[in-house]
Amino acid sequence: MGRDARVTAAGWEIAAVSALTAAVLLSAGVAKILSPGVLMRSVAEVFPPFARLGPLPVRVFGSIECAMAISLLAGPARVPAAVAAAVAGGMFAILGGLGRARGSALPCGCFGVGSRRPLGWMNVATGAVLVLAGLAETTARPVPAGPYSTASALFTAIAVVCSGCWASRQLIGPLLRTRSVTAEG
Amino acid sequence: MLIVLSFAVLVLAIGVLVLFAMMGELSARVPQGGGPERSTVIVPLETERIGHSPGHWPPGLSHLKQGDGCLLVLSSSCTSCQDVAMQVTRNPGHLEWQEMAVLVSAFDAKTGKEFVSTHGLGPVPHYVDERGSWVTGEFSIRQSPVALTFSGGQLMAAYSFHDVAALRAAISETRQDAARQPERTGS
Repeated sequence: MGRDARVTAAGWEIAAVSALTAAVLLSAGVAKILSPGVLMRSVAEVFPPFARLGPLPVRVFGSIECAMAISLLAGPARVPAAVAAAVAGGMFAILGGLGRARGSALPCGCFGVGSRRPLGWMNVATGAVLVLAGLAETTARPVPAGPYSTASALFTAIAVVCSGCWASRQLIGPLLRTRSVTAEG
Repeated sequence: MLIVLSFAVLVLAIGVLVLFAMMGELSARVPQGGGPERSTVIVPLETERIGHSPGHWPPGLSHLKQGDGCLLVLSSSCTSCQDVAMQVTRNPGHLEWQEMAVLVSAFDAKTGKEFVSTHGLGPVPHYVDERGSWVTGEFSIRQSPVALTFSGGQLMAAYSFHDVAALRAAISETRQDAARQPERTGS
């Protein structure tokens, strides 16, 4: 890292925005790869022909989301990945709107088996945030690649662990509760 | 050096995320305590139709002709069947069960369709069997909830059940035992 490659305040902001976007994409992508059936059924609920395709398209889309997230953290690929993330956000918002309009009742499964809300406003909001983040990335000034990647990768790691803990809180909670143990000889 | 280290931390974090996702998947597949009291006992039903392949498969169930399949026979008028339908639709792990199909036995098509829409069974492969004529004619099944397991379209077993997770565990165990059987006889 050279002395001239210092990150400005705006650079830190962009790194944080990228990290949050990448964390959302990674969480959603990993969930889609490991548990594609839940999302497949909820999409099929609002768009019945989708059921015929099976879980493969969901897994492929999950892999694309992970690739977008990693590209977002690599300096040179940041802007194209941000555009792709904004397009994906638009798709999420449309899907959420369709779910809301058609009265979706099945759990969405967008972030794994813990996502029990049906397709609706939450997906519209998540999609809108991704679109806004994409716009912010594309309109921001260039940032020095090395420091940007270092900072955004670390922020993403923190965000991914935090979001994983939050999404799995119902599983983690009982494990943390202490149980009284009786000592018997 | 710093950049390599930060990406190494990211890889570890992704590993943690994968573990969380697998933990969620696992918990969705095993019976959970703390929920409403329901029996986890799975009772194999004796029927002379074991090994029978239906002459025709109704629309929505034709995929059971190939590979392994499990048909949940529910009735629109039984309370336990409503509980089973809710287990299926509220537990994402069950919605992921690719080999599952649902047959709703109802007095008429309208009642059956209402049961399907009320419990959100639409995306699950399903068939409304008016007065249970198909399932009774083909498999002599006159009770519900019942699970029929198939292999290549042939009826392998019938079970009376109340808990879907316990049913899945029993089916999985039976298949593992069946897979081990040739090994034992061969050795």
